[in-house]
Amino acid sequence: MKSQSSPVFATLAMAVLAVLAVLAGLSVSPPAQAAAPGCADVEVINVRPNQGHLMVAAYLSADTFTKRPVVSVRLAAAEATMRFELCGLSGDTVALTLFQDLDSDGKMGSNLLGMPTEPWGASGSPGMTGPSWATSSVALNGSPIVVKMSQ
Amino acid sequence: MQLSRRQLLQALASTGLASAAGLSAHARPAVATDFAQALRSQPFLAPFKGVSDLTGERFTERVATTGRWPQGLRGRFYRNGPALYERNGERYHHWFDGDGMVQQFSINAGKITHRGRLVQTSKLKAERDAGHFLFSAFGTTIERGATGTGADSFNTANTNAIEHAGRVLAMWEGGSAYALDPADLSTQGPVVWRKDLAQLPFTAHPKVDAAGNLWNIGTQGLHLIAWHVGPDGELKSAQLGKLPYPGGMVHDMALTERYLVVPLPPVKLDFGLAAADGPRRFAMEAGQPLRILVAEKADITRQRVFELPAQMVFHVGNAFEDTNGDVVLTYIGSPDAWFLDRGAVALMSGVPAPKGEVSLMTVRLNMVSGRSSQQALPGDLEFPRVDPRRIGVSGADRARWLLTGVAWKPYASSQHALLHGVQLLDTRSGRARRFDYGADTVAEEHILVPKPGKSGELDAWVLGTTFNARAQATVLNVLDAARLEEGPIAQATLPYVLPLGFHGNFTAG
Repeated sequence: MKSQSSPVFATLAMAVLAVLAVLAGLSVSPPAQAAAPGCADVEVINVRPNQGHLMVAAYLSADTFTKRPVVSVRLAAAEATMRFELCGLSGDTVALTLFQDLDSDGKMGSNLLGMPTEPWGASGSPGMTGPSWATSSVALNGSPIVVKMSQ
Repeated sequence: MQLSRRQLLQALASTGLASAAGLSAHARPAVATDFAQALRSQPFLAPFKGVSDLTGERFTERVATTGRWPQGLRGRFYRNGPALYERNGERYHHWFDGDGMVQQFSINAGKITHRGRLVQTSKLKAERDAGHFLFSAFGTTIERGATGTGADSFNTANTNAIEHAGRVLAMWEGGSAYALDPADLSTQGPVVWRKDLAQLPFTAHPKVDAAGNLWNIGTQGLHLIAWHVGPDGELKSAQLGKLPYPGGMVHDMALTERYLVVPLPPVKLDFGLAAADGPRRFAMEAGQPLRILVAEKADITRQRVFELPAQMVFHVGNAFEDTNGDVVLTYIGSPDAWFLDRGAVALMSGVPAPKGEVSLMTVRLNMVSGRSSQQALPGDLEFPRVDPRRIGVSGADRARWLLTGVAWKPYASSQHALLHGVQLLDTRSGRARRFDYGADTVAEEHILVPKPGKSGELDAWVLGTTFNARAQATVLNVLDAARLEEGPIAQATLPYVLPLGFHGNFTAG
């Protein structure tokens, strides 16, 4: 019986892990007024309260999308709706991909056929073929970015 | 993060869902008042009104009985079916869409207790909290911007219920079985047989052999999963294989001592095509045969695929291994997917659709030569069941009798493909014994319950529910298999109407 893991979700998890070391230097704080330059106000809804961690990765271009996040954070999953400020961003477009690491094993859960078993989300509107740079990239202009986690 | 299109389509095909990645809105789901109109002239459709979150919780400590309930009949009879069809003025188009409600009749020498509860799936809870439907269903497109994590985000757990190894499994074709506590039907959660198998499809038609071994399959896109759960409820094996016809509807399977026997009708479930307005459509794929996969339980890669003239198949009767190398399978077949496409929609709207043909098929599949042959017995039959002690048994002790629901009179309910009778067919002679519940009654699936201490195939009771449209009541009936023509020897009448369901099982004790 061959195991097939989804390359996409594995890539996401790897990308997040690879830059966890950068976390120390980043600030993630509740948003004050409008977001400061290089920062975005993020609101994540449908978080499973008090279960594991919310893993967030931000990308600035189609080339780097799901490959090389400019910023990634790991937040304790608290309330069903979480708001935070994400900084260390640049340019005028950003795409966010998220998963909720319910069992805090650092990996996006998936089953034998590569389908996710942990909740995920992305900025913008995932289209028929799933989140892509085209559907997930949103303006980095001070407007809040809202992500709804999957059911 | 990007799902490949193939992966996403696999997910959609298995879950029966169109909104996993947020399709644009098209459908105007049927409004509840259209159905209310139709109900006035067709009282036998009352169960299709469905339940609410409130009326989906039912309990009757002592159900009113008539006749003499057999002293030896003790145990729990379960049924499951789609039950909740409406929220916030929106009504599902398709019978298969409704959220599941499990019924438990506890029978103890004439004292009958009924409990009915909606399965508390994550879908049900999310939609109850939101106050409206969030997700597309099998036959209805609903776009509310909610995405699913996996198959269980859309799981309605609505098709079958069986008590196995101390818990009740509420099953649905596209995702996990949900476990309920037999003591009170409270929902424990989706069953994860093993961590890496979470949310993989566990269809609604497992077969349990006489020793209590539960075999089941699941299909998702290209993949076939074969499950073996031991009598103790522990997973013994999960085998992954490839389907010769990917993305099709695979509803039921049979087994023999050595084999799993899986009809693969040529009906693709393409939920990527959103219904423009109204119900989703289903059709047999032109130019494709009915494939039947026969695989060894010990290693499903050792298999044969037989190709027969195209038919739609929901349910199998039974299978056995003949001495000449034939695997003999009975199933109920139709020349097209009329019930899936139109019949199940007509029941929900109240507007009858033209009925299609149905036949009881007996096919012989030779594992040595690869040749196959078939025989058809036309008739309006559904819900085939056999003696549970003889499921998949070969040789002299094999099942001879096939119990089904049946319709043969032009009652009003027959227009909607509903059944009004039960029938025991002698598969050796082709002769049938039947009982007609009459024009006012809809007959649901009936099952055979062996009499304790007896071994004869018809030393059994026939147990099943009916809906009496005149009295507007759901009734539990017990008949004697050896005297089926005499009708129920006893009945228990509920003080409320239950939605019509699909399948169920009895556990003695």
